[in-house]
Amino acid sequence: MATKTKRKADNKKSLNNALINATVATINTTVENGEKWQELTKKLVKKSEPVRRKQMDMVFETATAVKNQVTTGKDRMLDLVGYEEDMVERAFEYASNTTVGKKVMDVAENIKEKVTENPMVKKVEKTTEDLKSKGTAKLNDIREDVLGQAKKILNKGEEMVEKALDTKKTAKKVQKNVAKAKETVKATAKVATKKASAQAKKVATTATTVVKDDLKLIKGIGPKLEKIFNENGIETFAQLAKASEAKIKSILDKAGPIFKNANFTDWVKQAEAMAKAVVTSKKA
Amino acid sequence: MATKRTKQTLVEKVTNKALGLATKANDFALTTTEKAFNTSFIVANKSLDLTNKVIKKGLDITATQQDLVFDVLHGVKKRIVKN
Repeated sequence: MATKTKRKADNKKSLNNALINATVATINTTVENGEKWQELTKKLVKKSEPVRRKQMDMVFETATAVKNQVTTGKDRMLDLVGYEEDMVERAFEYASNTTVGKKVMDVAENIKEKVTENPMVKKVEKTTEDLKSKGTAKLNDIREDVLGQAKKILNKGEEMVEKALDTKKTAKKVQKNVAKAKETVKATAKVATKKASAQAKKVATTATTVVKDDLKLIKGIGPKLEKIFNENGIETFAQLAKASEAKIKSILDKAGPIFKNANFTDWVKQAEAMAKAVVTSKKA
Repeated sequence: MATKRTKQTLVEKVTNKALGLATKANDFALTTTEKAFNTSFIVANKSLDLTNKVIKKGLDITATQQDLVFDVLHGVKKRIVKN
């Protein structure tokens, strides 16, 4: 029994081995055959290459030939259709010399005459002329207006510039006046000292000399205002400089309506400057 | 024991025969395909040559036709300008 089963197992084993061998052999053969097909394909692809190249060359050669033909056709068409400069004139002359052309020209001339002689057309022309003249007149008016306004603006600007320059000049004038005042003060001081020394002998009492300043040196103060100031107790620059605004205003109010609105702040400043100048000159 | 041996050889024999036949058939198919392709290549080459010739001749004809048309038109134009 044991030998039987052993035999059976051996048989199975050997059969299995045979089948495995057969399968391996089949697989190997299939692979080999596949390799053969691959080689064939490679060979055929290589063989087909010159054919494909030839086909491509043919296509491109044909395309080039067609392109050249189109180009020459275009050039010749331009040459045929294109015209010379005097060709139109010659054509016009030729057309106008024919009987039909002459008739057409006559008709056109007649139409032109009729149109120009038409009263409606004349009216339209006249109205356009009127409109044109009116427009130009209006334009000139506007231009003149604009020019006048521009001139006014220019004048105003010039005035403003002059005023600005004047303020500079007044400043210079004030400086000059100060110098003048210094000189006058010096002179008056000299005279006063001389007079004082002369009178000192005559008069025993101490002589008090009151120096009266020339208020007219201040810009804006004339002889009339100087008189008014003197009458109200302001005779020197220092007095004017020290005087209060209310006092000056009351003096000016009394002087009359002309001096009522006078700008006296500038006078005070000038008076201060001149007073200082007088003091320094006296010290000197 | 003898029957065992014959069974084993039978499997091998059948396999070998079948594989041999398959290989033969494959080789035959390969050679036939190669021949067919080679012939088709030769034919394609010849037809390409022919097509190329035909196209070239056709293009020559169209070029002459174009020249002819333009020559005629030019002549007509000259006559019109003269008149």
